[in-house]
Amino acid sequence: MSELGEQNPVYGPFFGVMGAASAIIFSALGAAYGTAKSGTGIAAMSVMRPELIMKCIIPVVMAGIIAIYGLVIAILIAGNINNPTSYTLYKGFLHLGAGLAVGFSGLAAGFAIGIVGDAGVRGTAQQPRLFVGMILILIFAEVLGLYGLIVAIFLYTKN
Amino acid sequence: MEQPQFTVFKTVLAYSVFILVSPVLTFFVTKFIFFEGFLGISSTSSNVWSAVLAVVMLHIALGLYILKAYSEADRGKGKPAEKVE
Repeated sequence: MSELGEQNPVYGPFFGVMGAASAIIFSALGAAYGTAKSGTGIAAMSVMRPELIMKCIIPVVMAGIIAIYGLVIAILIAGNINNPTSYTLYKGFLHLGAGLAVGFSGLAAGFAIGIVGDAGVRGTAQQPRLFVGMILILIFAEVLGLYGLIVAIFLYTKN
Repeated sequence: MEQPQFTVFKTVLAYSVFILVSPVLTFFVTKFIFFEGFLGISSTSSNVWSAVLAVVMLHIALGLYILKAYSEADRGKGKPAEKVE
């Protein structure tokens, strides 16, 4: 496999590169939405209850974790992209699929974390016992991104 | 009033740095020192296992933060802070 052919055409790495890019782009988009949306909630809540800030930073941290999922997959893919003579088209497709899997799951999880974080933080300021429920819902939202990561790692390890 | 605010800031900063740095550090340390140095595993599988370990580390860090926030809030329940005009 030292020259270009049908199995490893010159445009093969394009798919892998797009996979790496979409992994980080979409999960960063989701993380940014989650941070911004729950950040407005924290800003509104902490005017009256500043002692709750430490508790209510949790949605922001979880949104940041979504971006780390994307970063991990993007690094894995980027480390495996090669010049087209030794990079089959099949591998490119797998990498594209892995990147899209973690990217769009991260986007979905980021949206969920943002909306839940906003409402949950505002609610926690008025009824502190809501905190446990907020954490639980946030964890379920976060796990959506983790599912994407698992699928992406499976796709990445396929040969 | 000033002192507890600063300690809260320090705690949050320390945990944030821990959450951001520990998975990245875990990834590269386990990849280059443990899997490729010690065990001599190939690049792809060492990548995957370091990634898995990094994600596990991330969740441990997040769990520690949640635990800290939970116990912190119970401790500081005494008096609600005054609104700063």
